Amino acid sequence: MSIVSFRDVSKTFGSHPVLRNVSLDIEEGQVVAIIGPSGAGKSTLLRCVNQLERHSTGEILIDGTPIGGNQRKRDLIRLRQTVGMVFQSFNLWPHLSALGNVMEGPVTVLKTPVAIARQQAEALLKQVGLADHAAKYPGQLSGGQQQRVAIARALAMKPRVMLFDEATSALDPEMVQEVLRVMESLAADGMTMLVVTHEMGFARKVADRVVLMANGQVVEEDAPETFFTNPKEERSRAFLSRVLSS
Amino acid sequence: MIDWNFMVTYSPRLLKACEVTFGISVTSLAFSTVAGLGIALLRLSSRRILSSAAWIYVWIVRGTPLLLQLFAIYYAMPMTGLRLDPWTAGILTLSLNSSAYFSEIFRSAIQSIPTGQTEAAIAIGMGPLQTLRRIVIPLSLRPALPPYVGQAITLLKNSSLVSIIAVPDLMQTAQSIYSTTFKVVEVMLMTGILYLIMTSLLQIAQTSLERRLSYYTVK
Ligand SMILES: Nc1ncnc2c1ncn2[C@@H]1O[C@H](COP(=O)(O)OP(=O)(O)OP(=O)(O)O)[C@@H](O)[C@H]1O
Ligand SMILES: [Mg+2]
Repeated sequence: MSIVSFRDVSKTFGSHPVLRNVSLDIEEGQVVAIIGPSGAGKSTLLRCVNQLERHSTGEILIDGTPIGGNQRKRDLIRLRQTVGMVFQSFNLWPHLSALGNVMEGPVTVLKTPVAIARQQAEALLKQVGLADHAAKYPGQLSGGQQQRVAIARALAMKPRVMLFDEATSALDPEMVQEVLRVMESLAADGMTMLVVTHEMGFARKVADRVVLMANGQVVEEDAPETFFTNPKEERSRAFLSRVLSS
Repeated sequence: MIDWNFMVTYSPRLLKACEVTFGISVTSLAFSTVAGLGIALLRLSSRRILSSAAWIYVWIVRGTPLLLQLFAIYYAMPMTGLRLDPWTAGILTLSLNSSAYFSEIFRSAIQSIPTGQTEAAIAIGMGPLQTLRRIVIPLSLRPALPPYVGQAITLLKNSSLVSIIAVPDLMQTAQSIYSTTFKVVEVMLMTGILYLIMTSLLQIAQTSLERRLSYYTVK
């Protein structure tokens, strides 16, 4: 059973097509890496999953339930809670501590009692290696630490699937690994993940499938070994030679 | 020469009148803060009718003199059958007037919040009201504070206009004292100092709140 299915999904901004008839299935427990040149529509695809962006036509199913369209606002919000998202720019709430950021979803949205939410949040911060930084505010944390808090914040909602939109692109090189390690251990724990990334090493090592997008379309979809050693499409070869040489 | 004895004699009366000015101002401040936030949200609404209505309200209120608004509410409203006592008319006028300015202050503060902040709230599964209460309002406080206090100071000074419709505020009391004693210089000196003290209190509140809110910066 797919946790996320795109069925013939298209999206236009004004008259500018950004996604063209994308069909894709993400199975439970799979890690799918989405790669491709800038402007390919990778972020837009991810943002359609939790409807930060509305798709124009086609269907997106979360665990079998269509999201978006004419769906009632309440149902949309409920369904969205099963999808976690990690942004390139972290987007931690600066007025809340690391612990506060992680507790916010459970307390405000799920109405989890504060004491329980606090315990869970502390456990999650420990899981991402930040047990000692719970009381700090985002402004007092490094980029890598902020991103790990952001991952814990998304996990606190116990999502069925996690979306990562270039989670390491805004980080200094020495902080990239600490975030990738957290993502890798999440994958090892069986989390379903949709990962937009420029980290080809990560895609090759951790992903179950690699999807190459260009011009709003899925160009190629393969197991990582096949994709990186023997891509089928000319455009994939061109893309790979460009990113791997740089 | 300045008559110091006179000032000592009349200062209790003027101090008493400060309570009226302060009371009217704080009451109007409370009403217009709430109304201003509501109007700001209407302005930011994606529904065209709501944002247009809010725009028109702000346009008219900011574009016409406060004194005219006061007369309209105190003298013209009775023609519609609604007669307001001077206090109510004064507070209502000041509240309506300030709410337009506050709405613009809140709107620009809300718009200064990076979209990533609200997107993170939406992505975590918050509804619009939760996002407003837990994220948008707390993050707007810091950028809104200086212009908010500036408008609050203007409101307090503008409250002197209610003296015209015979509310016994500081200004009205001052006028009634010098019109019988003719000590214009002394009375105006004291009155000016008292207004300055009251506005300084707001200024001090701003400084201390700014310090309290400075532990984070929005990036
Ligand atoms: N809000 C928007 N309004 C108009 N056009 C947009 C908007 N968001 C994205 N686009 C356009 O959609 C196209 C795809 O954007 P998207 O951000 O999804 O690409 P991407 O693959 O994530 O690129 P990158 O690797 O640079 O992040 C781009 O041409 C972009 O200019
Ligand atoms: Mg992108």
